[in-house]
Amino acid sequence: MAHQIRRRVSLPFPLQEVWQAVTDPEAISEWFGARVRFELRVGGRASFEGDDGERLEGRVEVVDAPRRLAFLWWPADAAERAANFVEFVLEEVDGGTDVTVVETSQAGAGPTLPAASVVPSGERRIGFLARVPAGTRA
Amino acid sequence: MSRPSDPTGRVFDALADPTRRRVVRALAESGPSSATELAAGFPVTRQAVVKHLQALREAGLVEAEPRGRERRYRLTLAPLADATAWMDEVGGRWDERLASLERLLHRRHARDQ
Repeated sequence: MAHQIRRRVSLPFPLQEVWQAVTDPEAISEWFGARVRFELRVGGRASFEGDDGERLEGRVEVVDAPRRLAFLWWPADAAERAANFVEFVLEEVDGGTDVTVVETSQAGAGPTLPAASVVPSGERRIGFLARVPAGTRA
Repeated sequence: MSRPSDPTGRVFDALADPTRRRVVRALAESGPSSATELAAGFPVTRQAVVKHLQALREAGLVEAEPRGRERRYRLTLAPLADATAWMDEVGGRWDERLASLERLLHRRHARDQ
């Protein structure tokens, strides 16, 4: 089974404002701890250059404004199949916006893995895994 | 932004099974044991215990060494430490980033008012 971490914060700001801060490359660069370049469309390329010089490449997988953003990212010197899957889910709540971030490592994920066990949204996960040729996963 | 290399997810897969967690606990409590010794404390057959031990070996959580006619199994928890280190590291990064996101939004609001 893949590794996964999940974090949730409640922010006292409107959904649109939070969405902008999460998806606008200039805004992201201000809070991400990296210089971020980001093409906000499915299939768009992304790159992250950390304050410590580490570089990651990425690709946008889901853009569902203003509620969901997901991308793959992987170390620039590694193959794309080493990618982790990162998903932001924004929810409008009383007094602000809840932000949930889930990062899933694909290491060890096999074709027999029940999709629903990786992320709650099994449908998207199936789509993602389906593009990885069988036998290429670690 | 450095991230530790991702250890295989087999560790958690192996520990998802409640009987396997009990095997791990028994090995932690009793030290290196044979499958026969372990099976004595379980409501399952020796053969079933051997299968669980095999799964734990594949996950790198258990090592087997021949001892007389039987193998003795002992815990090797390094892979578990690797996995929790991954979660600490990656989770810690997101804690920092999300706190930073919140600060940014507060700054913007302070500026606009």
